Amino acid sequence: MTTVSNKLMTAQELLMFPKGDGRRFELIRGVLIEKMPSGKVQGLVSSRIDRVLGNFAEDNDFGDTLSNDTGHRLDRDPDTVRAPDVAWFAPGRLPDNLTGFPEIAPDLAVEVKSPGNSWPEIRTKADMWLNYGSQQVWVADPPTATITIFRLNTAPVTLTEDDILDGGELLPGFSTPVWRLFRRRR
Amino acid sequence: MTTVSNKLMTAEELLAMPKVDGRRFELIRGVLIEKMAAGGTQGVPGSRIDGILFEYAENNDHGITVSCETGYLLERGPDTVRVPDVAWFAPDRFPEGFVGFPELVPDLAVEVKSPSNSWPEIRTKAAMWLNYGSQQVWVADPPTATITIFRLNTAPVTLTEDDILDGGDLLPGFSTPVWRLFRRRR
Repeated sequence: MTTVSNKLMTAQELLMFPKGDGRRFELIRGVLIEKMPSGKVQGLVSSRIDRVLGNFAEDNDFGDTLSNDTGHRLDRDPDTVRAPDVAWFAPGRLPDNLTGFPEIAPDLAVEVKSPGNSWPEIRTKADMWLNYGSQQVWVADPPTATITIFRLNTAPVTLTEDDILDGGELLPGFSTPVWRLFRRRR
Repeated sequence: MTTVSNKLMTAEELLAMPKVDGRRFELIRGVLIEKMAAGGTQGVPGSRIDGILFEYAENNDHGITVSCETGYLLERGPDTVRVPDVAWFAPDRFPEGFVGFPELVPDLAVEVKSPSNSWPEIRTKAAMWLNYGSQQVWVADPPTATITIFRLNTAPVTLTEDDILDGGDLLPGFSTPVWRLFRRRR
């Protein structure tokens, strides 16, 4: 018989939780949920997007990227801590001396869809970031090499390899062909 | 120390789980999540909305309401089973004599916000129903006696006590002042 625990975990306890065997966890209303490890393709695309965004932030001294499955504490009592694949914060949004989990959603959250995620599921995750304050969510889908851009209360827009992903007002000056987020060369 | 279970639960196991002390559970990607018991302020509007929708469906022979904490199987492998507070199905959408969790979503899902749900959280839950196929989600907020109507990719609309909630294309002929969803008389 499955036992049911009554004990909810806090964000602080999650932060102190020993990292075992590279396992990664999130907290949904105090319940510990394991994040599946990424496959090679997801890891590759996540790394490329992180680098392209990181270079933009570095070269333009504009905002910060967070990777390494950084948790973001979205709700309290019970605590919810979620980790996007890549996060970008606009200038001044992330406190300098922050220890622990940021208590705000990133301005841009990026998720790389894995074969184990359905589209309704990943769309709901995108809506979650938007509802907690993200301005945009990009969902990368490696098999189709597409980026889908989500904004609150708006139909998502899907870009294919030859399209240009433009940063618009959120990332002024940012522009890249979509294929570069998926591979080194054509 | 918190232990981490590797064992994911299936929808069939959830269905076979003995009911204990009125505790209610959902399954998110194979992880058992307890639904908090509703307090009095949630239970009354929940019951009233269910009753008003039932009456409409009965009188117009148009669709059915489904209650009793029915779970809907949204995903398989790992399994996700979620439970709305009130559900309405358009005509012919809900299979008769169905055993187990229906593998479909209500055309209209109603959630009554509890004090422990934040707005971003309940908006995300509304987005979840819409992403899996619900046409509308109504969120009732007892302290403000408001109903917020969510549709996919559209800004939600909040109605206050004196407004009329109109069923539109989804529930043709349905119309009620919002206050009736919260109390018997003014």
